[in-house]
Amino acid sequence: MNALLVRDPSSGAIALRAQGLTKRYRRGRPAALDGIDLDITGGGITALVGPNGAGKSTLIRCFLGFERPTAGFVTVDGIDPARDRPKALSRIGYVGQEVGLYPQLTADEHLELAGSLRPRFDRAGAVERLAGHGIPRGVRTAELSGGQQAQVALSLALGTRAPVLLLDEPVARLDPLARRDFLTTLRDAVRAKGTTVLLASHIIGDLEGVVDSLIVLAPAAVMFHGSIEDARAGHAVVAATSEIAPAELVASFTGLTGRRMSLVRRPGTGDASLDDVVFGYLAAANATRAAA
Amino acid sequence: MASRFRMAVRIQRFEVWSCVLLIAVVGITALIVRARLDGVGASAECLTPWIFENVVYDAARCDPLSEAFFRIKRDEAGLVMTAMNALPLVVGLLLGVGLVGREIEGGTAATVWALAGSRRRWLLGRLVPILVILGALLVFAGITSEILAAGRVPWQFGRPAFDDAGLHGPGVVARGLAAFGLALAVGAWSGRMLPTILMSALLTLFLGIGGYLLLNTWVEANAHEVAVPSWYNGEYDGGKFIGEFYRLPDGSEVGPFTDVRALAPAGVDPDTWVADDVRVIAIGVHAPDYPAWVVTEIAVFGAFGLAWLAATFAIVERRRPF
Repeated sequence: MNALLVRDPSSGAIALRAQGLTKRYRRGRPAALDGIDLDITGGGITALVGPNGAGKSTLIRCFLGFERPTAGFVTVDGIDPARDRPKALSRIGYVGQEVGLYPQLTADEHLELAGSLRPRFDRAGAVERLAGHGIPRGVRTAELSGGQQAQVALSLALGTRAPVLLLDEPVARLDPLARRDFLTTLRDAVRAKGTTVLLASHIIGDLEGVVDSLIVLAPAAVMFHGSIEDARAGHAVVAATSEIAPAELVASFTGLTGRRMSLVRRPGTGDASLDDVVFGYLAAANATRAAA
Repeated sequence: MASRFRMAVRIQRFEVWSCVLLIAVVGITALIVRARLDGVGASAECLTPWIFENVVYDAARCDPLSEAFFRIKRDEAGLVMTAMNALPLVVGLLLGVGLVGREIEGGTAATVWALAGSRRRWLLGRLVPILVILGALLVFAGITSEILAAGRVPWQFGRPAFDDAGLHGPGVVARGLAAFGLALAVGAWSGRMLPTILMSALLTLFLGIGGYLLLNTWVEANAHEVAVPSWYNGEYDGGKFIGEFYRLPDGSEVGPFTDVRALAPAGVDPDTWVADDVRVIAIGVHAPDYPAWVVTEIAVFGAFGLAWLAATFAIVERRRPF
């Protein structure tokens, strides 16, 4: 099992679970995911952060049943998508890296299509959400801006009324304003309903104030899983030269200012930024890999 | 259901309208050419007087009519029938290639497969409307080509049968469905449009060639002795012949290129002997055998198309949506 530090953020029913999850695309190649153990409890937004190739998309695709695990299993609300994909998918709303819209169809037609595929699709809610963003429903989506397309895709996912939303870097290509709109829409929509969201993203700065917990995924392995409070208050960044107990040290890394720093675990005393926490755990992963 | 139908057509709007246009142009042209053939007013007695008894050929009246008829038959009807070689295959290919392949390439497969849950249900929802449209278009093409094919051979009294076999009637529908199934499966397997188009076009070409090979094989397997009248000139009843010989009065058979007159018994006028006692025999199939070929054609191409459709369900069920 590959888990440097895995913490269950809170008690409650498990919405998403990975047990010993390994995904290897080709024999003889490094695993995209290597023995991941992960429990995400129901309700709240969890950010899935990591560099390119860390396995974020692979993990989400395993939950969707788009990828079959090489070993281990995943469950969505207790359902293994490898065994019963339709039932697992009935509990999921999804937005991918590509917005996945038909350029020749209007937003309205997308809602109609979604309604024909999902019996309980909330068309009225989706219409209201689009109207709230001033998105014209009668215009082909090819003519909408990237931000508007992302909002249409999010409206489709939210309209499913699914208890779990899986979002695979949906904001990666958006400008900061569109990213903020997307994330605040998401936050407001899911908080009221208690939806569980797993949001893969590169852009850590956008996540503060939106997400409730954080998973740092280094290539193939979970490096940190905890609440945002745990991540920030439980860690501190100190000069690398200061005295650090070996048990405290997560990793040392070079900060943006060029200074050598260390991320340390100091529950209740720290005040690290999310950036620091992510950098620290990714540096730890790099150090572990280099040592191996 | 109506909503799904509408959406399926909207998603493949370009292909659907291209196919409607293609079929309409060829089908309506076939009807126009048929009308032009009929409009010449050349009776069967004028066109093939030798097959009728007690007909006096009126050259002054019939020659210009015959010339006009055969010119339209060759230049215009021939062109339409040539187009019918490719039309059902092209239409099947056009509608099949993008149905799954473009969804995967365009990234929409992930969205709709996640929304639908059951991929089988999604594929059925996409497939049925397009199959209904394809079927309607192919039936129209089959009927109009049948009407034209019958008009090309008035001396066969509306039975084109093996003349232009595969290019008219139910064979058109069967070929189109086979090409559709093939392109659909290749698209689902490759998930990329350009490779799918190239690969499907090549395989569809083989499918077309396979149609001719199938016909020849079937004719050889089902060939039987067919008595032909002495005036036989190669086309008289919509049959397809693969061999000819002469049967002499003693039951022996000699090849078609034998100088039969030289075999006449001594003291008998060779011409009288040939006319009265020697029979021209053909080996092959004739018009009454045509329905059996149509059943075979539909069964083979239909099974081919259905096998690819079934393969598509299996591919879609297992593959990644990207």
